[in-house]
Amino acid sequence: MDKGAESYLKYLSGDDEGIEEIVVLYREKLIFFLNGIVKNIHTAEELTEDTFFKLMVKKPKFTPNHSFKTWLFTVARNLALDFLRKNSKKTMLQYEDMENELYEEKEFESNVVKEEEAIFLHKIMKALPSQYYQILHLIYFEGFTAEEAARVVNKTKRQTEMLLYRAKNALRARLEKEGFEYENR
Amino acid sequence: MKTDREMTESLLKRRDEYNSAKLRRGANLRLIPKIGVPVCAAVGLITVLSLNKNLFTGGSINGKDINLVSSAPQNALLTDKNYPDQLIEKTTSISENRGYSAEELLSEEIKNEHEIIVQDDVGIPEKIILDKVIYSYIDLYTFSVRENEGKDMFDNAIFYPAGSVTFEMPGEEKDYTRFISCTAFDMISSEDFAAIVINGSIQIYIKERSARFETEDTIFEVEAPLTEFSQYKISDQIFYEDDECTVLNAEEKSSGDVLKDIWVVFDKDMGFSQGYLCFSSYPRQNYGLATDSFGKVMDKSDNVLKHFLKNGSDNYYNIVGTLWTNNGKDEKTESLNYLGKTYEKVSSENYDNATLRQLRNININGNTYTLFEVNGRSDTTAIIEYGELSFFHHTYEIQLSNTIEPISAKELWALKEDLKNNYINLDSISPESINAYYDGGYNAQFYYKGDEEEQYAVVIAVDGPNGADRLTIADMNSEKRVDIFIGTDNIDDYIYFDGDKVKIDFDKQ
Repeated sequence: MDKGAESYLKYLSGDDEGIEEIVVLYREKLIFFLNGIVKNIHTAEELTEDTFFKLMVKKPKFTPNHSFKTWLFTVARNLALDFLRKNSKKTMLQYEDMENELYEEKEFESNVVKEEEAIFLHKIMKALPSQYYQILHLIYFEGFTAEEAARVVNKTKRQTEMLLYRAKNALRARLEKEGFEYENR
Repeated sequence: MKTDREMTESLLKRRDEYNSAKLRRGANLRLIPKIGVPVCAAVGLITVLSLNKNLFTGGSINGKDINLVSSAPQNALLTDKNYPDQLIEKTTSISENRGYSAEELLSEEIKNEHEIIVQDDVGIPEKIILDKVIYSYIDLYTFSVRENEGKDMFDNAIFYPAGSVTFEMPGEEKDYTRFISCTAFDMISSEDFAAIVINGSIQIYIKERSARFETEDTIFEVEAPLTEFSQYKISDQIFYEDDECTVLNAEEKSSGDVLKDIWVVFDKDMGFSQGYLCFSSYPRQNYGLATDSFGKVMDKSDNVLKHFLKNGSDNYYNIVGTLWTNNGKDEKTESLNYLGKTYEKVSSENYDNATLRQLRNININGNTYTLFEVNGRSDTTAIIEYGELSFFHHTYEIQLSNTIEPISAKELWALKEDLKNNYINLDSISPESINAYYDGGYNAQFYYKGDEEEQYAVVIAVDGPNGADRLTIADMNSEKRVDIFIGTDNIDDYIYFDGDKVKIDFDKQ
């Protein structure tokens, strides 16, 4: 049983410390992941909180033979997709707000990912189609296996492997493109 | 952005506010579908049951001793305008129109009035379905208890008969399940709860979600939740999918060998670990029973099939008329294969009052059809095609077909156990012992040299369009047969002629 599962069971048994442990373990990871889907750091933060909240009030059963982290990311992703569906109309931001937001996003990402190369890679990934981004993030940034990632994105393992293959190709093409432009700047 | 600490504090505050709001709404609370268990209510229940035992007299809930006292002070919840006082008055007489206190619920008197389970060996069902809503069992020990929180919720609880529920429980023998019915009760303290009485205990259930599920063109209605007593073989093929759910077709095996096609709905919202929050749905006759020629489940309009089939019981349907006629352009199915048998189309004029039982979906020329057994006979089947029922009859004539997956001799021999169990006794047949005579006709007759009274025939069709491609093993006494189709490529490898005798060598590849 992983640490997250232990903390969740602790919370279920009535100890609020369990939820604090879960927040410490996964807050940043979830915001990082969700930001790539909803493209807004504050929304990603709110959705992360909503994910935890859902856990707290619904108290869904957790099957210990599955990874808690996989399950948590599944719920978070579903919330994000739901959010996007309900908020398909884009909100206009003032230039100043946008600047602040970008600054906060950059600061947050540098806290989560230390290496500059990884930050650059993640930035490129975010520009890919959402499905590609999700699968790449889960596998390369969260260390999920293809099977676990398949659970999160609700696809079969085979579909996930195909998706990953296409995502990697798209990433490579984008990187080559970006690299070329970068060198010529 | 919030820190870990700030987010935790915010979460705990939100949780507490949520719980308080729930309690304030109390009995008037309506659970929004897919929101899940109203935790506060459950916490309240536990609190009452665990911390306030002195409030109750008599009986037990969920097997735990509790007390219920009718004279406990009324509280804000129960005097809510939606629940006027007269509803929670103690009742002294048993009547259909009036509720029962928990004490009365456990009395002998009510057992005579209602379907109350008294057998000792009945377990507690995990879920019940009442009035198109799924309720989940509350295990009191799994909830944390907070003093004074919601403690009034079940004071003076009044239970109203709400209908009969049926659930599946294991029988004494392995692979045997049984259906048990009993009366379910609504609880006036909150419409989120229901109760059943088993073996002198009141079991409490909490509203989970609607038992009705709609997709764009289909309605699924849960007849029974998935149970651990059945086996499910879930197809990889997604039948329907949207942002909230995935619907897959599955085959359920329960009560021995009974197979049913069901639909399993996975709720994405709850994540995969909530496997058993997903539910099975037995398509009803008004929607989803039949498939059209393109494999699409009929729409939810009640107009389509209810005139066509009248629901009997246990998935049996009586034909009451037909709706459509063929437009003349499309060719209809002339024969179909099912479980290794070929069924040929027959006139439907003798089947006006036939009773159909849904078997499973089959694929005919790339389209999915629902196959029905007709009048309880395994030799007659029917499908709905272009709005009409077509009937098919299995005859014992050899019908050559190459549509069935060929099997090798070894695979054939591996089927021996199956054959023995399902068709005929082949115990005494060994690969070497099948030694039969060729009669030179359409069918080659191979007679097993065995006991006079137990004579079997192995029949090989030798002159069909594909050559010898079918092997039939039949019990000559009972006329039970099984047809096994064999690819023509390798048949000569293991069946050979020796004068007027033919031998089958099952050991060859």
